[in-house]
Amino acid sequence: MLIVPGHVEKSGMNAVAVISILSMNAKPIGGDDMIKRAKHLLIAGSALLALSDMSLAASWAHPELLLTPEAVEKNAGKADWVVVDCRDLKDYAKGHVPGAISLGKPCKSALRDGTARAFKDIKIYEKILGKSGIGNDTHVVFYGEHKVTDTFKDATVAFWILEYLGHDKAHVLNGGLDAWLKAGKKLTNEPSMKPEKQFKAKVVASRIASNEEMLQIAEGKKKGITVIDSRTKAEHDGLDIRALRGGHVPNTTVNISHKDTMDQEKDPNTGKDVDNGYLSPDRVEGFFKNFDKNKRAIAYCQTGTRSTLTYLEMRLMGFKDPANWDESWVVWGSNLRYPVANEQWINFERLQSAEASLKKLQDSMPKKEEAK
Amino acid sequence: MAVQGGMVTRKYGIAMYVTAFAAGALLGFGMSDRSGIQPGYFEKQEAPAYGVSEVKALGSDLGKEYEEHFKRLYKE
Repeated sequence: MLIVPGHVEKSGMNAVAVISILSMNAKPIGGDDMIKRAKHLLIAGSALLALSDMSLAASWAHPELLLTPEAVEKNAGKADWVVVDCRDLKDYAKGHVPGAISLGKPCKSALRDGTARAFKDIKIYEKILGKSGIGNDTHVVFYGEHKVTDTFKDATVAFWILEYLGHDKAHVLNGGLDAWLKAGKKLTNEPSMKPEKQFKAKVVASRIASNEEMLQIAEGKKKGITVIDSRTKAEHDGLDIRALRGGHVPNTTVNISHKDTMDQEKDPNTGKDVDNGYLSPDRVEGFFKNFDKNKRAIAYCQTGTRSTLTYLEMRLMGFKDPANWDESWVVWGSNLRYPVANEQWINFERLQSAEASLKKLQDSMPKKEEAK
Repeated sequence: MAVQGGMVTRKYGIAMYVTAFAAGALLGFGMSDRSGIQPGYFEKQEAPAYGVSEVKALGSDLGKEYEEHFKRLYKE
């Protein structure tokens, strides 16, 4: 349809038409002019379509939380920036981002107690962070590594902990060390230390969901909260049991496996799509678009580790009141006080049988002395 | 003659022992200086069995400075 001034129907008017109108004058159309104007129309239309495509692409509400290798490189040397390598110390010693420090242990161990829960004693955090050179005014970038050591989640655990402590300058390197190397950047094995600073926590208690809150949700006493199970479908369905019972918390809104939310690429060995440790707004938004970002949202998994990735994603997308439930399934599934949806019990008979098979296999192997 | 020869051999033997001891002590001191790990001698814990690695202090592979740093970080 060719639209000329004065013949625009309001209801049928689209952006291309508007451009075409702007590119035309009110003279009668015909001959060479017609071809010229058609060309203009085509060019303007294509430009507008491209623009509308761009506006359709999702974008992060808080892009500053996720950094590129270039941004990390640019800031790593600054006095008010600390880059933390969240891997094991032995991996850090082999090679790390120049200027990055280590907490001596993988971040998920350094910043949580032995049961994978956040320390109750906040002074522990103030000491560890302060002595590591992290003050209240310090930007902190956490990075892990996805393919070999699977420590991307260590970075997200650390990010969540810092936000729980009220620190609003925590960042994560998108794609972790894999992205750093892919960008052609070098590693160093020269360790780094930062001058000590004062870190004073301003705890944001709502960043952690409690068992009591989850029980209220499960019993239907508390409504309007988005509850996301970040485990695999098999765990959610109770087929992969990792506590006394399998299943999920009643009234869980949705099961979004944390692995699915990462960008995918073909595994050259299997030809299957596998997660690659990068986050992109298009992919992540696709999983969360139906949820009200103004409502409270709680993520959980087995030990509250994988769900910290979901927490980061919710923060990136602009959820107003996100939380991680660090007790998660390992506690809920084994405590008979709590109700379970799709409840499946662990099969001890099968466990015993597996144990017996293992022992048989062990016995059939030559002893150390015999092997010599 | 035979007695004289024996004395010379004994002197060489003693010199060898002294040299070996001094070289060993110097080598040990040098290694300790570089690694920052104090030699244990008598107060050292029982050595682990052959093939069993000793439990190392956190950060000791990076040097004394880092070992002390991590100790301070996680001190109760």
